[in-house]
Parts: sequence; structure tokens; C-alpha cells
Amino acid sequence: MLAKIFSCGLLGVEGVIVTVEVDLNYGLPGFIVVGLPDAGVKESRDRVFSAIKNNGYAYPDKKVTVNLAPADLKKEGPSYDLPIAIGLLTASNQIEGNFSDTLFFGELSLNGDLRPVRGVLPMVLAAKREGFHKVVLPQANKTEGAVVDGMDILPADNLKQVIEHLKGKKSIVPYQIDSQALLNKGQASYRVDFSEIKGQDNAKRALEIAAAGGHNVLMSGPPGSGKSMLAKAFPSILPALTLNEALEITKIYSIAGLLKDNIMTHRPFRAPHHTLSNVAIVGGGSLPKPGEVSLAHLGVLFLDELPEFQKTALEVLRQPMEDHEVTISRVNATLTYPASFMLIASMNPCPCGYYGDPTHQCTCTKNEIRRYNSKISGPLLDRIDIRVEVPAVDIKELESRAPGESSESIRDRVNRARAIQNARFKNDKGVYFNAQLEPHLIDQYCALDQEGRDFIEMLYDKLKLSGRGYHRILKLARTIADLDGAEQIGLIHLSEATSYRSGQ
Amino acid sequence: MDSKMIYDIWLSSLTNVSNIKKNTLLTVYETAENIYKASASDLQRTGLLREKDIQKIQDQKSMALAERAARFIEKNNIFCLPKNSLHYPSRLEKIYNPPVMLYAMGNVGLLERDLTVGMVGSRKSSLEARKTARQFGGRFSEMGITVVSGMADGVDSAAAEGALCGIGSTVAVFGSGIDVCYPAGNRNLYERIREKGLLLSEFFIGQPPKSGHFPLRNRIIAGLSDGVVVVEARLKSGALITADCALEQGKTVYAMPQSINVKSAVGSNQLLKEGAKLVTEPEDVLEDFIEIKDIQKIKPAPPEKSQESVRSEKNVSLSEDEKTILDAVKAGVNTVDGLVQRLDEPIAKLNAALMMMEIKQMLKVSYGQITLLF
Repeated sequence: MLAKIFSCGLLGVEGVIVTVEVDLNYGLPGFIVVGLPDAGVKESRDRVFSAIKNNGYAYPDKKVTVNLAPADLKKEGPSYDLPIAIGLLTASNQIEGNFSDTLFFGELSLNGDLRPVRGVLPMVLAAKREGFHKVVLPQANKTEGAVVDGMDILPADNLKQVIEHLKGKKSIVPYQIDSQALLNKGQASYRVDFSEIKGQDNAKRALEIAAAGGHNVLMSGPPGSGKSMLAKAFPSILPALTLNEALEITKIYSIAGLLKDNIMTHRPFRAPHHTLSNVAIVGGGSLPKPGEVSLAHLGVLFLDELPEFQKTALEVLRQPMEDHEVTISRVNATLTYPASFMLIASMNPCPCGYYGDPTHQCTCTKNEIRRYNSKISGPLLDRIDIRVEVPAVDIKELESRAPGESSESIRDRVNRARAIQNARFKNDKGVYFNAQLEPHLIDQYCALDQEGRDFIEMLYDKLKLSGRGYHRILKLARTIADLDGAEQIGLIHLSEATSYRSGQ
Repeated sequence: MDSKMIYDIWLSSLTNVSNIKKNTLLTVYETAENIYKASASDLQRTGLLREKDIQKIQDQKSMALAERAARFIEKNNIFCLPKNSLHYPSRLEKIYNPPVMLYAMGNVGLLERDLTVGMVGSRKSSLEARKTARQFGGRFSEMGITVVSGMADGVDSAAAEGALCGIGSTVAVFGSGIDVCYPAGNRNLYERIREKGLLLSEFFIGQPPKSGHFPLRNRIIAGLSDGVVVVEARLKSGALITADCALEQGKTVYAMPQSINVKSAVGSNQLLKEGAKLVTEPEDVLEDFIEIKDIQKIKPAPPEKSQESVRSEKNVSLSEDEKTILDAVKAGVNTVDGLVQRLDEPIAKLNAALMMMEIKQMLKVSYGQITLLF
């Protein structure tokens, strides 16, 4: 007797429907899994055996063959326990019925309890895409699954509940949540608000522009000037997540096994330590996992002490910064993870940290400073539109100052600027904000008037502006004009944009 | 080249015999030629040198190195000024341990100008100090005073740059061989001083800059100057060594006052505390050497105007915003954060205006600090 049950596997950030075929034959009792299973899948045999037996059902006394199709995709992990158990019971006629519109996954314990698995969201999304209507999954994964609209999410505590539901004895009630409400609820709070940061108006303004146009930022300043705090406050002025964006981020975190709540309500803020390796940045492993660039997807990758990072680790950043995705090839699979992040980097002006600070004596030699700065390559710097100097602040002056503008009111301006950009780029595929503008689009959208052209000409002369530098200034000026609500880029926008290319 | 000169070059090529010992030998033997021709036993009999030093001299009796250097010197128009020669600067004859040999490139006449002023300061100086050094260098030079410095980064270079624009011109004294441009980043300045000023070094051709050379170099700077102006110096810096040398040689030390909170000026402020003469304008130095009424006569008659003097507030057009900012900065609000508070303008507008003023080269913003450039 042959049974056919549907489950789901993972390929990159996408779910792939896997057909679990269970066949019972006469012969010596045994259990064979085919279809490129890993050790975790092979071990299913023992868990399924005990789980069926301990719930009062009979484990068939026959030769069991399990086939996982498509057979060329590597299967990993324990999420096939539940479909194999259901397949066995159906094949041995202990359950009857056709489950072709239902997806099963879950890990079994020996007493039949269902344990959570990772990657639930992409699997449920795949189920919806492939036309399934019901998903049976472990109780602990129910909210993550229920985030997807239009699916019957059937959570179960143990194998027995699943069997009774399938037999029609005691139905499981579909679990539902309002994912938009969940998203809104989570978005209310941020770690650091901009009003908590006193002074540093220049850096705050630079971050506002960065948020509005999606530009990357490099902050340079002595220790204790507040670079890290500024970076931590940065997510609070980014536009709120839409449900689709939230799902996309949740998918990545679900696969990486890092999902703490049911849905990601905040843009990710990743601040990896500077000892991290190339693989940790872009992702990898024999069965590839997403790296920091993907975990920062639609959010912020904060690299503190940029020159301390390994040079190679910084260079691998270049491609994802350009393409907004990263492709990893390994023996087992070639996967593409999304990686559309904003880079916020910080560094000291010199190895000792006090160059340019009037209250401390810098002890570095000119060569040391040059060597320190040269750790960041030109191509990487080219991809950073905004470079801002963050001076040390006087504590006494800080205490005397009124609190700054709140994140909320800055975010309002950012949202308005983003709305202008969305309207402008509605016909340009793959372009959502100014930082993504390619040279031909810059010509189209950042046209200058005569006054502006004269100014740029003067810059060429005085600052020895390069072609790339020219484009950077135009992109920034476009964003500043958008924040200003201006159609035409004016002299004041250009001149402000020029002030954020410090350190050249 | 004088046929005897080769012996002087040979003496100078003995880099492992100190200048003091060479001087001692010269007092006995009078010329380098005699030293060269003296046998080891001769040298021993004088009792001036230790066995080891005599050995060193004997080991280097070959002329090959000196001859190669002589060809190089001739090809590159380098002047050799051995001690006791006609053109040897008279100011140096009077100091302790005068260099036995000077190599020079450029206008040797500058060494005998009536009035010379040394200008020294930190390599990592504030923008402010470099600006002042350039101004003072320019003013001195316009009045016909020659500025002596070390062409190091920072204050020294700035002073030399300023002085190059006037008739006084500048002398740069090296801590390396005269053909070695150190710091290498000053190549452009090196060429310009060779054209219009004077490069000077006591070290043999091709000698690299060594840390031990610089204190020696500083005694020459002090020696060539009638007074030494310390623009900005840290507590432990070469500029203070130069000031010490100047004091030992009985010359006046001048220093410019700065905020007590600026770490890079602790040394120069210390000098003031110890009695150095405080300088706020070039005339403060001048009055020690010339009658005040003469100063009036030496009106600047610059053959070519320096960029500095062309650029002034009056001939740069300013918008209203820029004027407001300029007034505030002049009133002492010299940080960007301070401007935001004082003027109550959005930072966007201020940044745009500051950038404009920076492009007009009126000021410079660095790590939130605003420095006026004129």
C-alpha cells in the first residue's frame, strides 16, 4: 500500500514542496529513506517508531520505503518526522482519507509530542504559492505560520491530536492572528530615540539624509563622541516596515533560526564584532546559512571601528552593496539570499583616536594615520555616499542643552521624502530610493539649472572632484531636495551635499 | 671644483665620526687634506682621539665615495661650504660645535642677510598655528627678513611657504642629506625653495633622515637665526630643542600665546611662562633689531603678492547668511554645534552656507571646529 503526503523543505530563503511517499512491502521488516536525506532525516526512523507505538497505534511489520521527492534536492533536519509518521499510518490503513491539500511538518519526540522546526514562514508561504489550503504544524510554530493570510493553520501539540483531527474525531481549530496589528504593536518602541542625543546636529542631519535616500554613511570621530549611540538611534528614523517587508525579513530570520517572536516588527540592526570572517559576512557553511548582510536585509548593518575589520571581510561587502543580494555556491547548493541593507560604519580619525581633537594630544605619526585610513579601500569608500565627522562633545555643554528633535518628527520628514521618491521611480524597476540611482538615471532625475552647473564646475576646479564624486554629490543633493520638498535641485542643496564628503 | 675640496668632502663622508671630533681634528691639522694625509701614528700622537676613532678614519681612506659624491655635487649645482672657507656663514662660526661642512642648494646669499628669524613649531599643529605661521612668514619676508626653518610638516612648512612669497625668502635646514627630501610629501615645497630660497644640510649626500640628526639640525636653525619664534609646540618637541639651542647661543626666543586647553601648544605656552617674549605681530620681533622708525620705512614692497593678502574679507562677496555666520565665528562661536545654538538656524542651512564659505576659502571646518583662514 502506498501513501503520498506533502511536506516542505528549504532552498535559500524559499520553501520547496517535498512529496513524502511511503510504501509498505512484504519482506524483512526494515526502514529505508531515499531522496538525498541527511543524518537528521535518517534518524526519523527511530523517532517515528516510538512515537507511533507510544500513542497506541501499530508500527507496520513490513519493509518500509520512504521516498522524498524531488530526489535531487538535499533534505535536512527533523521536520519530515510528522509527514513520515502520517504516511506510515495511512499506508497501513490506520488513517483513511486524502490529504493532498494539506502540508505537514514537525519534529516528533519519542512520546509523540511535536517540537518546533525552523523555516516555518517560508514553508507556509511556499504552501500558499503552490495552492495548498491547510498546514499542520507544531503548536510552537503557530504564530509564525499564521502571519500568512488565507491559510488554515492547524497547530497540534502531539501526534495523537493530528491523527484524531485527520480521522475526523476531534478537529483542530485553525489558528488566526491579525498580522498587521501584530506589526503595529511591535513597532511602537525603539532602543534609542534621537531626542536623547544632545548636540551632534551635523551627524544627526547626515543620518536623516541617509534614511531618506538610503545612502550609506561613514562616521569618523574620536572615542566617546557618540558614534555608536547615533548608529543605534538610526533605525528609529527609518520608515516603518510594511507587512510585505516584515514577512521578507521574518523569512530570513526564520531560516537562520534566529526568530524570537512570531514576526519581525523592526528593521534589523546588525552590529557584528570586527573579528568576523568573510563567511560570517556573506553567509555560507556546507549547507549555506544567511550571513550578516542578509540578516541586515531592509535594515542596518553597523560596522563599528571599520578599519579594524579584516581587509578581505570588507572587500566581500562590495558585491552585495552593489547587487542587493548575495549568491553563495557550495557543493550542496547554490543559493541566493537577499541583502539590501544600509551600511553605517564608524571609525576613529587615527589609531590613537584623537587626531583633530583640541583637548587631547594625538600621538600618531603621519604614516600611521595614512596606513590606518588606507585600510578602507577606494572601491568601498566609493559606495559610501555620506562621510561625516563627529567631533567630541563637551560634557558641560551637553548638560546645558535642551533635548533634540524626537525620532518621530524626523521620521515624518523621512517618510515624506520616501513617498516623493516612490512616486518618481514608479516606472523604474528595482529603484526605490536615490542611493540606487545609476548614472543614466542621475542624468534624468538630477538635472541642474545654470546656477547649479556653475557651482559644480567650480567644485571640479577647487576640490579636484572625480566622476564618481560628482555623481555622489548629485544623488545626495537629490535626497536633500526631496527632504525640502523641492522639485528642482538648488544651489543650497548642492552646497549642503558637498559638505558630507569630508575626509577626502 | 677646488682640488682641495675633495678632502673636505671626504671628511664629511665619515658619517661614523662625530662632528665634534672632526672639529677637534681641524683645530690641530687646520685642513681636511692634512687630516687625510696624517698617518695613524700621527693621529695617535695628538692624543685627541681614541684608538677606535682612529681606526674608523683609517678604514675609510678610500676616496671612491668622496669622488662619487663630488661628481654628484657638480652635476646638481650643490654648493660645498667647508668650515674656514670664504663663504661659510659667519653666524655659524660663532656657535658651539659648528658643522665642518655645509651643503647648500639655491641662493647662498641668503646666509649673510642682515636679519634672519627662525620659525619653528609642531609637525602636528593646529590649523590655526599653520595659518599664523604662514602669515608671519609672509610678513617677515615682505620686510626683507629671511625666515629659517626645518621644512618639517606643519608649522615649519607653513612658515617657509609664506616666506617664499616675499623678497626675504627662506632657508630650510635638513636633518638628512641635501638630496633627500624629507618628509617626502614636501617635494613640491623642496623644489620651490631650491628655486627661490636656500636648502642647507650638514649631512653627507644621500644620508637618510635619522632621529639623531634632528637635534643637530636644530642647532643650525638656531645658529643661523638672530631670533627664534616658536609658533606652537608640544611639551616634548623639536621646537623646544631649537629654543634651548637659541638660548645657549644667546639669542632671543619668541613664542605665540595660545589657549591653555590646546594640547599641541602646551610647550609654547610653557616658554612664555619661562620668560620668552610674547609675540602677536611680526613687529614685536622686529623692534628688537631695528629702530621703530625704521620699521615704518621698511614698508612691504612685495614683488609678487601672496595669495594670502589677495584673499581678504573685502573682496569676497558674501550672502546675508554667510555674513551672519562670519560675525558669529569672529565673536568666538567656533564650533558647528555652537552655531546651531547661537543662530537658531536649521543645520541644513548652516551646512550649506559653511560649505560655500569653505569653497571660497574663507574658513575650514574640521571635526566640528571652525577656523577662519584670514
